[in-house]
Amino acid sequence: MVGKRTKIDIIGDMLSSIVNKGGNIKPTHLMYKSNLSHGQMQTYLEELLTKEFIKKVEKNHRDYIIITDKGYELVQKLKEMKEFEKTFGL
Amino acid sequence: MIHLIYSPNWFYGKDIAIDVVSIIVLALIGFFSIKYYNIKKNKNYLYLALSFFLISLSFLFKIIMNFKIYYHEIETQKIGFLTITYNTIEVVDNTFIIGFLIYRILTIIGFYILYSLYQEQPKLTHILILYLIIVLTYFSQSAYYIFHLTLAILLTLIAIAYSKKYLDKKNITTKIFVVSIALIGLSQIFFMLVYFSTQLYVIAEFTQLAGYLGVLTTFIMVLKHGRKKNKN
Repeated sequence: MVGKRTKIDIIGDMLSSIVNKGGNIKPTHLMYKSNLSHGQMQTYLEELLTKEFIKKVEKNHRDYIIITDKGYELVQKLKEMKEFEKTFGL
Repeated sequence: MIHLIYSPNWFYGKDIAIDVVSIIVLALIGFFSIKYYNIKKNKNYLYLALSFFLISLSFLFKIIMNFKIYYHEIETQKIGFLTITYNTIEVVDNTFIIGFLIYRILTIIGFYILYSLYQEQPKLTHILILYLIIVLTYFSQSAYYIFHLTLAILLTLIAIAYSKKYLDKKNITTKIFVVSIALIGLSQIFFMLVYFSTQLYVIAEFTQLAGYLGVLTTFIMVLKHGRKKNKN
């Protein structure tokens, strides 16, 4: 059975979804890919924007979310941590 | 009188260098574990860091004690008076006994925490085990092999626990970690047998070095995993 996702797990899933889409994604796609409700996603998006892990841009009259270098660094750190947990049985 | 030196003369100091490598490896992983804890707030990171820092600290005690012993040994050889030598060693014996006692207790507790990370224990068991570790270490001061036997058993149990994890997930880094722990465990068997030949002390130190270099390799692979396939 998979346990409840922590806040950092959700943030990791959101950022990974953006990376998997080539670094930019539409907000609705991000919501589905991250398995979040609209309300939850708005809360997390605000936090990620404030902390400059992501940016909002407009392309062809559509909103897109792009990941920043700081966001890439966090994804890298989280991947490291996941591997660290697997290796040392945490 | 407690026997303190098992290293052949030509190996004096080289074992200290090997222990320094072990300290660096353990402290590095401990430091990263604390860093990860600050991000994720998962207490297991703290326990892993505590385990590695305690073992690292124990090596520091071992180094200080070995350094003192070698210094006294060289000084004694230069003086060459049996009576003076005897008195010198007797005076410093208490420092050595306490130093090695702390080294042994910290090492066993450190590895026990690592074992408990996989095989979760009730809190009361921790207290009992802590008590047994202290009693066992204190009453086995003159029988150095008891310490190494205890460590060998503990390390075997850790290797078995982590190999189960490897068989479950087939994670290559876990496999290297299991081999490294097994090597450190094997080194304890060699340490146990140094009474028969001081050359075994050298073999033990190098086996231990191989083990800790394996732990370092595991850690480098973990870091590399985070860096690959990130940016498109």
